[in-house]
Amino acid sequence: MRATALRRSGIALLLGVGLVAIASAVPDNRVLLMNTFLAYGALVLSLDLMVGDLNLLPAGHAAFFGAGGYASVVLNQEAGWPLPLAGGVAIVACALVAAVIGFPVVGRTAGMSFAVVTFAIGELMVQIISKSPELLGGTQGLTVTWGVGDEMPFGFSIYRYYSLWLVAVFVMVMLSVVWVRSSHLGLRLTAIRDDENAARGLGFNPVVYKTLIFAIASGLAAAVGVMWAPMVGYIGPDSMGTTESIFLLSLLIVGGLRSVGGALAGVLLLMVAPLYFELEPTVRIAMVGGALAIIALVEPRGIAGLARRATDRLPVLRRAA
Amino acid sequence: MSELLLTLLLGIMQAGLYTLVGLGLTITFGVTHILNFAHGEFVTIGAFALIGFSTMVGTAAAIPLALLVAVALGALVYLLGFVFTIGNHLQGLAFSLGLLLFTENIFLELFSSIPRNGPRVDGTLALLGGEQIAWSRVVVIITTAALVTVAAIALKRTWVGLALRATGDDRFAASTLGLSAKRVGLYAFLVAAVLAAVAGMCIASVSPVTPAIGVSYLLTGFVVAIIGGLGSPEGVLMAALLLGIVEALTSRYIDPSMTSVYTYSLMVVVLLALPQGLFNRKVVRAG
Repeated sequence: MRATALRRSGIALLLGVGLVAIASAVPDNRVLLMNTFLAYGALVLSLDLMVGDLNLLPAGHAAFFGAGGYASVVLNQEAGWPLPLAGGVAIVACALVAAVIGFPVVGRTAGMSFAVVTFAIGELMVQIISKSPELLGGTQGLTVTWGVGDEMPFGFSIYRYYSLWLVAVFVMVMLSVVWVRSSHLGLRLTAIRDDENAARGLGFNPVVYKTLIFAIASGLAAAVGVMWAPMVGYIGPDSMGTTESIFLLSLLIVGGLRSVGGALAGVLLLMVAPLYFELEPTVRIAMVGGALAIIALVEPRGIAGLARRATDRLPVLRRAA
Repeated sequence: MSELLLTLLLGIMQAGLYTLVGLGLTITFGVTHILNFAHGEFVTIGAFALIGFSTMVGTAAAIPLALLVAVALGALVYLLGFVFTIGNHLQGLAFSLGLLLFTENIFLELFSSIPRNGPRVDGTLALLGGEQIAWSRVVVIITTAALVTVAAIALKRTWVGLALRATGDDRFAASTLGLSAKRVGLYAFLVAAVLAAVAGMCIASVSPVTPAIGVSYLLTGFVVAIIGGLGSPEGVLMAALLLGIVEALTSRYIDPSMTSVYTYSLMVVVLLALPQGLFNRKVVRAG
């Protein structure tokens, strides 16, 4: 078990090194694309901790992404804290808030009523932001002034500089996923997912574990938001609504649950590729929808399931694996 | 007094629309255990079909044509898609999510996001004490109330209603009596499509519509279906009345811009107190 975890962490770190190399080498007009992949990849992987490992379907994941961004920007611009400190505090605060909110929610609700409560909480956050124009910018959103006109380290542009931070968050999310899945905690989560009452009978309380995972996943989403807001120089309530959360869920389901490779393939295929070919947003989202509908009918396990089928067909690959 | 009456009537009008959308969701979920995220698109189809046909052939002919379009599309998505996903929650959910994203954006491309108006009934009706209410709103209240009553009676008394309820209560027992879940599922989708399309037509006749109404009514429909208890038609009615009247009262007497804050808070409180909804007898878990 530990050997698996170490091997997978090694792969994640190697991937991180590779991503740093790519981030410093991609041409200037593709840096934003790279950042989009990193941010959405990290969001989808953190979402998978709840969906894949616990069968919880949150409809408010994007709200925590936005909360992280807002918290760090406000701490930086209004309270004057340096950005790294503001970001760190924002991540921890979001995880704690998620734990406090999540404890009664996961304790009382499951299945679709969980989805509706998280949807309502997410929309409440959006409403709070829209109703406080002085501090949070209202529906207009906030403009981030940090780093405008400053020299970035290594002579990078601000987008490229934040690529490095996003790679760090991405690797952190992958490591969290790896360590949760290949540890005793992961076994307990599997037990809770498969039979909650039996898990209770074995002497551990499902509510505690669900709250823990809800807090971790929300904290990771907040970390993405912390890096995203100063990168694009703007954060607004439209990036944290229910539609965005549902879109993240779709990306995850197309990719395949409980599969890091599948989830990332889903993001690459449905988020990055359409942006690369510069399709209009409506066409892009319609394509995601069509792909999701077809994949749901053909292979409910998503891209990961398709890949597994392909490897089963090819004896050469099977021997190698 | 008259102001309160008008507010309550507007609340009841909204509640009627929510009930029509929520009923379809709850019936399809009860029968097939599929949570249909694409359900709201039938509202959009109803609204835009009415607007489109009424400019071509006049309002009287447009209503049956729009219903026909909704029924045909309902049958199409069921027979080509949902029927294969019965028995697998996640698959049905994923298919409907995909359908939602696909159709919503196709409609945005086709109809653009500029608000459009449907046919109106002109004139206003004076209420006791001097307030005025538009006739088109009165028509919507009467239509939804009549349709909800018809649906309630049909669920209790007609053959299709009995089949829907039997399959919802116990799919296996119903199948031993010759009610195949796939066939009853088709009835459920057709009934749901008709109810949602009527809701869409009603919306188009009282306010400007964009292709985004589908999603917004889908979310409210989910809220009333889940607060009412998934699979329970009476729950939908109660939850919709609660939501519609709370919305109307808060927007009239407290602060119109804070309406959604109150309704979302109400949702959280109700679901934390009664996670299975107001009227649910058994534990229903999707996912």
